[in-house]
Amino acid sequence: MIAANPRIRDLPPGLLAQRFSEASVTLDYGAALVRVRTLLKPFVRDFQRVYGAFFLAEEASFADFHTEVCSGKGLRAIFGPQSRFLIDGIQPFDPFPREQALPHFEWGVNWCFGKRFNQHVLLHSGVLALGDRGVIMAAPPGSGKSTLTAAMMLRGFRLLSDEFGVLCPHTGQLWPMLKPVALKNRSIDVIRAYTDQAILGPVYGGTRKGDVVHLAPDEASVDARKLPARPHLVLFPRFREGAALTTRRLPSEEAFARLAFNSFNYGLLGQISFNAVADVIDACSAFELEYSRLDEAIEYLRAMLSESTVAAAAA
Amino acid sequence: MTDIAYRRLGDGGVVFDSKSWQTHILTPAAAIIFEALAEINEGEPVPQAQALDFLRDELDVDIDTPEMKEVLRSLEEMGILGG
Repeated sequence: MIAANPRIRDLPPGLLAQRFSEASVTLDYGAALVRVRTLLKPFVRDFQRVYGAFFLAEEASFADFHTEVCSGKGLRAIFGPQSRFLIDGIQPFDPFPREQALPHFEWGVNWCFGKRFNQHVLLHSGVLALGDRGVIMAAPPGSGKSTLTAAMMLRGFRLLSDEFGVLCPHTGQLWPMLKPVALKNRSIDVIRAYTDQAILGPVYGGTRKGDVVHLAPDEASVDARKLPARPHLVLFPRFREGAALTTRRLPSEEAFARLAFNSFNYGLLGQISFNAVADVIDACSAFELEYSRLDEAIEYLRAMLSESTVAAAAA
Repeated sequence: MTDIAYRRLGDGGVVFDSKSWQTHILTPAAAIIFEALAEINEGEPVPQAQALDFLRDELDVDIDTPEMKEVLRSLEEMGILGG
């Protein structure tokens, strides 16, 4: 007996594979709908684990992106099997080994968002929230942003996104673009040791970004994927082994530059993104945060978010 | 000036020039100068000599420092300062 609208993890694998083969799997990431077709069974198995809390979107004629994950052509279907990612029937980049089909799909969807989702300002940042109070976490690769993002979700923050801060230029709200958190290299063991509550996919060794594991978004974040958040804090986190927790308040113009110039489409949208990012900086305090202990950083952020709410209410 | 969007952010400011598609980040000092010149130019570029006199005499700015030269260069690029 299957519930009327079961979570993906509760679907019989055979039924999920059938839906994938019929191109009737549409994922609702919050800000975007992505339709997926595949016949690759290992992909379906890995997908069911890391998208377990999601639902299949109701059958709809519209999807923002139509994607396919398929096997390599000719002999590549048998020898050194590959996966190919297609968007609207076009293969935008080289195939991956077939066992890396899921990370291939994840990067492919990110590519679609980054290149084509220009009705929103796409900040290069993680976004989490307590209620509707959003924290924008922007940092370059290697700074520990995804690790902190993962840990915050595992300690009760709502995850909106690990990679894309989807900022609506009309309302100033942040929309979820909820995908599994891609943990890389050392951060995999950090999150494994952090809690046994983390639902992690398989380890994909030796990808172009090293070892990768996906952390499944939790049910609360999935259930709130249609709820936007208001920007309250802008944070530039940096992990440093053994560091005491320190923060530095950033001058607003510096915070603007760091947030705007790292966005995916600031240059493309021009004055639209200029105003949207300026509104965020106007509304938020911006900090650099250096840390080495996850829980200490998370509790500090929880307190900061509460303070920013109190300050906003008093203003 | 109609191509210029300016936002004061904290003590500093940011400018978007839709003609060049450039964004300029203004330090607090540059933001004050930008606002002062924008006020006196009434939509037209302020002649260099008039602007420099104004900055020196009214705002007591040392216009010969490298930082100030950089600010003036940016303002010229944006069309706030004329020839």
